[in-house]
Amino acid sequence: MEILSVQNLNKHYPKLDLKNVSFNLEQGYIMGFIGRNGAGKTTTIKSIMRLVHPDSGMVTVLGKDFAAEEFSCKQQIGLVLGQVSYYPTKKISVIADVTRRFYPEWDTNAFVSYLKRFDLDPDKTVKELSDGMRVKFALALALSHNARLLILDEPTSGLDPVSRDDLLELFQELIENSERSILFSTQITSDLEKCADFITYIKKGEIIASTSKDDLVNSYKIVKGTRVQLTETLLPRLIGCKKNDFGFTALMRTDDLPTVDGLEVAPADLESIMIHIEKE
Amino acid sequence: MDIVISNTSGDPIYQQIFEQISAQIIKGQLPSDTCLPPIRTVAKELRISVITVKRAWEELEHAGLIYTMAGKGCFVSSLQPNVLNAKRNQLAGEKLAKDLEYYKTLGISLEEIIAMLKKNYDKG
Amino acid sequence: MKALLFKEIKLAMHPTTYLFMVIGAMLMIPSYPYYVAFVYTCLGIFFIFLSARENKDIFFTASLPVRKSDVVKSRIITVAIVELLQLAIGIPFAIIGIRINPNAAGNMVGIEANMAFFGLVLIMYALFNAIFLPLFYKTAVNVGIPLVFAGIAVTMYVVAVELAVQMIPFFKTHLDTTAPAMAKYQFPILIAGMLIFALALWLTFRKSAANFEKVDL
Repeated sequence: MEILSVQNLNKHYPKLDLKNVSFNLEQGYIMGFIGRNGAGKTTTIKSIMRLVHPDSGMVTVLGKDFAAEEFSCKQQIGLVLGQVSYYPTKKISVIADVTRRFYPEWDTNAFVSYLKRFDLDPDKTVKELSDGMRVKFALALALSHNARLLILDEPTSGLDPVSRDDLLELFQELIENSERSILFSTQITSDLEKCADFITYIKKGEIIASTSKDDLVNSYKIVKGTRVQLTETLLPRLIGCKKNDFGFTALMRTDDLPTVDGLEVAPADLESIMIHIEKE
Repeated sequence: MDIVISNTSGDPIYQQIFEQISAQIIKGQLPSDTCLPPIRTVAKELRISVITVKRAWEELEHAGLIYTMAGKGCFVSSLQPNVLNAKRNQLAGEKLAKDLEYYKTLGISLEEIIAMLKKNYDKG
Repeated sequence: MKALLFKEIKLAMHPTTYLFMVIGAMLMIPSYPYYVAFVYTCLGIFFIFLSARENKDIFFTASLPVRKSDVVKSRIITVAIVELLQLAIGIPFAIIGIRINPNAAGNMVGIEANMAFFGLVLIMYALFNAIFLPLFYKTAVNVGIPLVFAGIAVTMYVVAVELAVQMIPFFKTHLDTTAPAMAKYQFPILIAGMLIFALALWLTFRKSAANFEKVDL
């Protein structure tokens, strides 16, 4: 079942246009949302949540039209925008006390147990928490109102490798019972190598891929060769070709591979795919 | 059940899982009707995508090594020894064919390969 | 809406706002430009917006299941509550002030704290809200510029009203007094103040919500 469906979102900005942004996320999976700074990740997320008003397009959550049933759709969503830094001087317990009133499905027992699991002290203020703890606090809030869809904008940015790994492990645990889905944007592609099932890749406001991570990674290969091998016929098939004094490195569609001979071929990872595609 | 994933191996992860589990089934380490762990648990434990594990399980099912019972999970098929042998030979054959191609590109003759095989087999 | 109001009081309310609310006690002071007490409230309201911004209230509120117009509505209701509470707190002090200072000469530096005064203060609030709130919700970030504009308007209004009361003989004798006989002239001003306050609040909400709707957060 589709938990989130985004269809043809358009939004005009002086600096950036979202152009027909469309993708779907099924229940029980993690989708990584990648793209460079300013490619439109945050704008897309905000458009989904109607914090910015798209010029056109449609968003459905569990089959419900978001624009028409904003309240019930938002009940299903846990949204974390950037680093949690609101009300730094307020205690966790106070913020939770405010938050719970917005959700009929709020489960106080669940909240208490999440706090315990995440090692969060309800008497601490937000500013006393580390970055990783803040994300966990936001997750505890979202999970306690039984959000089915977690939308997280750059939750891992600013975290050290250990807390990042910790968080990613938690993500996988959260989807284990196949009821929840997670959409999270990130710059750190290695985060996604570990846990993402699907990847949506946005470049300059356009979605250029939205597919399973395995398919995306397998559809490209890294090829290397000498300068002599870099012929006129080969060049158009290379993506983001980087030349150096001794040869070249480029990305190539796996489908195009049989047409070439003698190149050094290696499997691609998300990072190299992104680097070469952005170079185009 | 043991699975060790290598990030340096050129083989896709689903392939590695498939090969390791099928080897364990064929060697009898996973007896018939053993219940395989849930796909999502495997994904979480190995820190890989659910889809990757699904793919590996599909390949195992396709090869007739496991079967699915709706709502209960996946189980190791009960295979007769001769079928098991045939599977073993088939899997070995496929791998061999792949490797042979590589040796051929290096221009190694059949005799040389056999000699190398013997030498290495005795060592192991 | 109840949840949002709870949020406003528990999180967004700035401590100084409470302090400014008790400033109604200044109505006890004999001979004082009483408007000043209520101008402090406007400052208190400004602090609510300032501290909400500094505390990234928008990020918190954005994650909640609420409509943008409800966010505006709850804030405007909070503002109105603060204003009216301060006025209500001021009333007993005004009465006490009159009782303990039966000074025949009355307030030397401005209008007496009577019914007409409270009506005129309500109109002052209406003016402040109508300028400050829609301007703020044009950006939902800038608080300074709306305060400057609203401040100028409020000052001009207070000066104009005080001058009118002091200069125009009829107003001076009928409005700037605590004599019970004049209450019948002052009462309509209080009623007018209430009506204008309520109507302006409604229009302010409409305009602010429309402005906020257009803001991309």
